[in-house]
Amino acid sequence: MFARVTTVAFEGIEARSVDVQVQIGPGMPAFSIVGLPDKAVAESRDRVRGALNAIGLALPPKRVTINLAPADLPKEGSHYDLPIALGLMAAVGAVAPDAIEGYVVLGELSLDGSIARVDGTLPAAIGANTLDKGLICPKPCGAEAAWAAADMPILAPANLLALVNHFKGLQSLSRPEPEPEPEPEAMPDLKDVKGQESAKRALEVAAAGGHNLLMIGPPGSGKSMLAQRLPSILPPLEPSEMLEISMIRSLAGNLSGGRIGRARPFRSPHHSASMAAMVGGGTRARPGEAALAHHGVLFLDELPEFQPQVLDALRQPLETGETVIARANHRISYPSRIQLVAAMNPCRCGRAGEPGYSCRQGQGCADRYQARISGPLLDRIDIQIEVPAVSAADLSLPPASEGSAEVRRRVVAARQIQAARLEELGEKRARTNSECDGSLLEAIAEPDPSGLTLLREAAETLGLSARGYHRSLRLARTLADLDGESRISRLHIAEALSYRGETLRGASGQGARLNQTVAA
Amino acid sequence: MSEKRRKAYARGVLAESLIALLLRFKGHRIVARRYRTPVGEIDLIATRGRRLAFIEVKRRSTYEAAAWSVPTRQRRRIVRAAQYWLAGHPGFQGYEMSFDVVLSAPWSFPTLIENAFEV
Repeated sequence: MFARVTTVAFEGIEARSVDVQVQIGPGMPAFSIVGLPDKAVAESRDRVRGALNAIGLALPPKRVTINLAPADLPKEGSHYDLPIALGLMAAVGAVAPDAIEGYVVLGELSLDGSIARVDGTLPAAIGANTLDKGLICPKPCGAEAAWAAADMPILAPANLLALVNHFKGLQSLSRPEPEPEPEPEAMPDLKDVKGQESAKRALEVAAAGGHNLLMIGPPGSGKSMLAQRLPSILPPLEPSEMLEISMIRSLAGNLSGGRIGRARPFRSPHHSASMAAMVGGGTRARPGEAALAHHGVLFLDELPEFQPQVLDALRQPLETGETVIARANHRISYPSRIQLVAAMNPCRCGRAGEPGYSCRQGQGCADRYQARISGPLLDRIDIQIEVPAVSAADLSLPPASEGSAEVRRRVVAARQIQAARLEELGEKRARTNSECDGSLLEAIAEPDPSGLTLLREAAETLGLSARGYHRSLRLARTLADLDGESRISRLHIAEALSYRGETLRGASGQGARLNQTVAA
Repeated sequence: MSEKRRKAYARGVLAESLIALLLRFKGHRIVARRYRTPVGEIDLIATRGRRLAFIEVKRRSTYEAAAWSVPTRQRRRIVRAAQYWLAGHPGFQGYEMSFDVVLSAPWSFPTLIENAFEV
């Protein structure tokens, strides 16, 4: 007596098909699961036995062997219960083996025979679709699965009995309906921020070009407030982006209701976050904050308070757009195209650089505090601005005339220019200026003669590194796109140079020199 | 052996004989009784059709006590003894096998639990 059922194992957001082979043969009565099951899979035999008992089936007193093929791929998670139970039922003849042939099955069983929700239904549904099969999944995950493809057969039974009756033709299960797109949530509006006009401008530039942003300022100057308003000025998600984000959320187990809105993700992990929390990991190599912020914003408040190793682990996603987690049994990569927004105080007390304030600790305190962020990470942050404290006069101002909606319109227009230009050049990966590098950057960002002169002079007087030079060019490109101009002018270069964050790394002298250069 | 243990042993042997007789009435063929091996002991080995049963008889003063009296260590001993016996009787290799337990207490009819445990 032999039966086979198809299910999946997850490798990152990819679902790999796994064959559950069930053999019932003579010999000493035993029940064994082979094929590198982890603890939750090996324990499924007791859940399966309980669930089968609950619907009035007993396991035959025979040698039952379950093989999860391919045998060298580690199997993790509780979603193997249902395929194992269905395979057993097919092997003893309780369901017709050809009825389950065309399905990929996943679900966790309770002892009473009901089918409990599992993580990763959406990637499994997409995997099933590529295999040209239908999907059997738990009822609570039905809406999520229904979203994967409009025409694939999906069964979402609430319990094992309903599924058996469906196959016998006694009761028919209808295809679950995808959830309607949720209403856009009210996001905090840029109008609420009083004053801080230059910071708002930097935020707009960051949104327009997808640039990483670092805000330095004393406590209470509105850094977090500004960062929280970034999603409200970012363009809405494309359908393909929504799908990728949903797959990651499905794996992480927080795709509630099976549908996400079109607002970009905004993740703000606390500064006590560990490496595994940030880039992903743990025994099941779960996605971390960087992956959960895919196509969205990763906001790190109090940047120097994060562990240095955790911050440096973010260099890979910032550079390549994906996080790779290598473990003894896994090598998993999650897509993580993130826009990093960080905020920090200039020193421990936060008052360094305030006019008329001299710290007893001296400059050394601020230097030590800022040196906790590694140079390579700072190098990857295109825009570094100072956010000064708000004055009482600013607070009494009437609300700004421009809200998120107006800014977003400009951002979307600038992004469209970028996308059109990159498409013309036949670029597949990059979609925003911030992702352009090397020859691609040279091709798209050529300043006019006066701009080039300024950039050259600035590079010489300020001692710009190669990376700093390119960073300024990239930013200038975005600034020109915001103005709707095809050429980068002197003005754009000058503004780009002002976002270089000269307060960091004791480069304060350079600021004065820069002003001379611009004036000259 | 103390007097108490000797009496308990004698009662156990008597219960086994009674149960073997009962099983015969139910259509079982007793293949072996009180089969001792270096790795463990089996009270009764019986067949019925193509089914081979290794039976452990448990006699206690109450039913509840009997039901709780096959610890894991003893199950392992029974399984090992069954494998030992099978090695010597290859003719039974293709049979459907089960490990059964019979609970017996004074003044009550013995209960047969089929498939009481697995390997």
